[in-house]
Amino acid sequence: MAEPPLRPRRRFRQPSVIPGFGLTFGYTLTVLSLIVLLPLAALVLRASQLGFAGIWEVATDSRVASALRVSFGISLLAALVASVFGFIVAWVLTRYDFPGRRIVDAVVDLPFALPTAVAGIALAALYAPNGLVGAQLAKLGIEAAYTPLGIFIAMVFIGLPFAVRTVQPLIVEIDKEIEEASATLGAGRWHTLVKVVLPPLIPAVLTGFALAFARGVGEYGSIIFIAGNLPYVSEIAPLLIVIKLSEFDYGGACAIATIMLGISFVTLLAINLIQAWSRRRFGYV
Amino acid sequence: MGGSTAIRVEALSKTFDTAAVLHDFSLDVRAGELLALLGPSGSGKTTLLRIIAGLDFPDRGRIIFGGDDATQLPVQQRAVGFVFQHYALFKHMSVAENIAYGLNARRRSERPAKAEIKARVGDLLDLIKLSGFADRYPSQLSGGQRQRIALARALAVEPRVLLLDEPFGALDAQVRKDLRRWLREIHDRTGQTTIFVTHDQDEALELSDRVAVLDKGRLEQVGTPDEVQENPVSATVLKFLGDTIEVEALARDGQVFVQGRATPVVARPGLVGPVKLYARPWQLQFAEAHEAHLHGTVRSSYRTQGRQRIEVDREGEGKTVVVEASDTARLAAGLPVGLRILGGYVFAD
Repeated sequence: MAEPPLRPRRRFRQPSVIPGFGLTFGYTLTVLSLIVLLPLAALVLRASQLGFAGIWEVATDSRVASALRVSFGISLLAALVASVFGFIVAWVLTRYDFPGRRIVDAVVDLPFALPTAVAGIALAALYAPNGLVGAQLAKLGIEAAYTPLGIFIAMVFIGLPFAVRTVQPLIVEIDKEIEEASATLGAGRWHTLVKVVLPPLIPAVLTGFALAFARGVGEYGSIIFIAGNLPYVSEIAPLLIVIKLSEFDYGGACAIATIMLGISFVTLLAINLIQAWSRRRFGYV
Repeated sequence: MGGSTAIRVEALSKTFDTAAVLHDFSLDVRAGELLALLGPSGSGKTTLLRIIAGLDFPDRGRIIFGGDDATQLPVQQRAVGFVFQHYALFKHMSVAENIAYGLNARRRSERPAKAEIKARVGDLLDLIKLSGFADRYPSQLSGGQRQRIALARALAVEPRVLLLDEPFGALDAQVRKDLRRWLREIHDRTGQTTIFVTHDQDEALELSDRVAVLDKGRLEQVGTPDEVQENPVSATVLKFLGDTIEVEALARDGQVFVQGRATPVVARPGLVGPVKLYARPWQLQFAEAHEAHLHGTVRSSYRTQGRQRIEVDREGEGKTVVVEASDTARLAAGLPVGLRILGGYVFAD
């Protein structure tokens, strides 16, 4: 992100008792360049060979456009749901003590560690019409596996740990006296929760939402097993990139990737700005 | 001072895990008084305050608010104002929103109109002398200002009793002193029944109408600051109210002897035999050896606020006593001195 302008030299590097600014800053730049910026630049460069018109053509291709809609639309929805349920999970894990709490706490991280293909196969087996959950849903006339609903389920699954782990430390830190103060002033539990406890947690919830969203957009492995991958219906953009690659259409693949990069960047930037505003608004100065 | 009882604490007992924090504790709080709960940490004073507020519940005993049993009443319905040591302000709300919180939290039918709330917040901001601060956030204020906001927030709901838990504990010495005086002024102006918890005896003695001295979950003594200072009922109260010197003594025929020499201290009738004599630093005087009750050598001396405090190592016992004298010349360390007891209190050994 943008560094403060370099105008007077001294402002750029404030005197500090801790040495090593040059070393750490250089290291940061090097690592960031090698691992993040260079590959992304190469991607954009490759896509730019198509020219702006070429990229636009790829973007407006109806199959690509619907894949992008599926990817971003369902990611947003899944991140929203993951945030809500992640918040509840984090709340229960920190505010209540019950037998097996530590085990549940550890289970939350499993989607982090599980190979995504394994997760995808497990979810697909579970939600397929003859699966444990899928069979019940089928009775209600709901098809989960091999539909956009399947994509949604996979994205919630992989997004949940982000939502839980970002709010959890803040819930731990909630000052009991704040709640007691609210109660002595006559406020009921619900009023206290909504007006006093929740607002300061909003920035963390937003962070979790952003992470879950980003993860959902980029997810590939677990989704393709459960999505059904029907063009125009349940085909995600990353899959389309893989298809283009297997057809040796590197330019097209890079173009889709660049578009995804652009949309993701703008979305994350927007969430960051809302977050910065809410941090100020809710008293983290 | 109003004579009627605002709050009656009746035979309260409370145990946390296995440790008892309050034993059969009873206390009457008079309407309109400023009562200090004074005691060392672990004496149960904060627990008592929290039980009165409804933030904790007793194992046994009752809390009576003006004739009504409030023991089982939830905190929301007790109409108490509680001020916490660390302010407990709502950080995401402005000063005005913080103060208005209790009024806004009321059910719609009982909630004052918006304009009325605004006027009340304005009045309270005037009262705490922070009129220009309505739109600031707590993080932009100093500790003393925050505590004033917390007090205004508690007063906004017109509580029947104001409870303050070590209200000045987190502030530095100068701010503490200013706030003390200021709290006294506010109390005199509003006549609000107030109970505050402190472990600082100066604070309790300066600020309160009455002081309740607690120790190990029991009420040692309750009385005006003068009463508890002049007639402490126990060595615990005496020691807690200030520096004391402890001397082995002998009571006989109402007189008290230290090392065979009579002192002006009078023993209660019936108190006979070996006793402990307690004296304040200013109840000792340097004296010639043949008049002295105690002997020792000067360890060090220092001056504070026009008084000279001299530490004397007592002969034989290896104990150090502090003597307070008017501002005389500094005494050299190692100087042998005699000390004469001018007054004090005697309790059974």
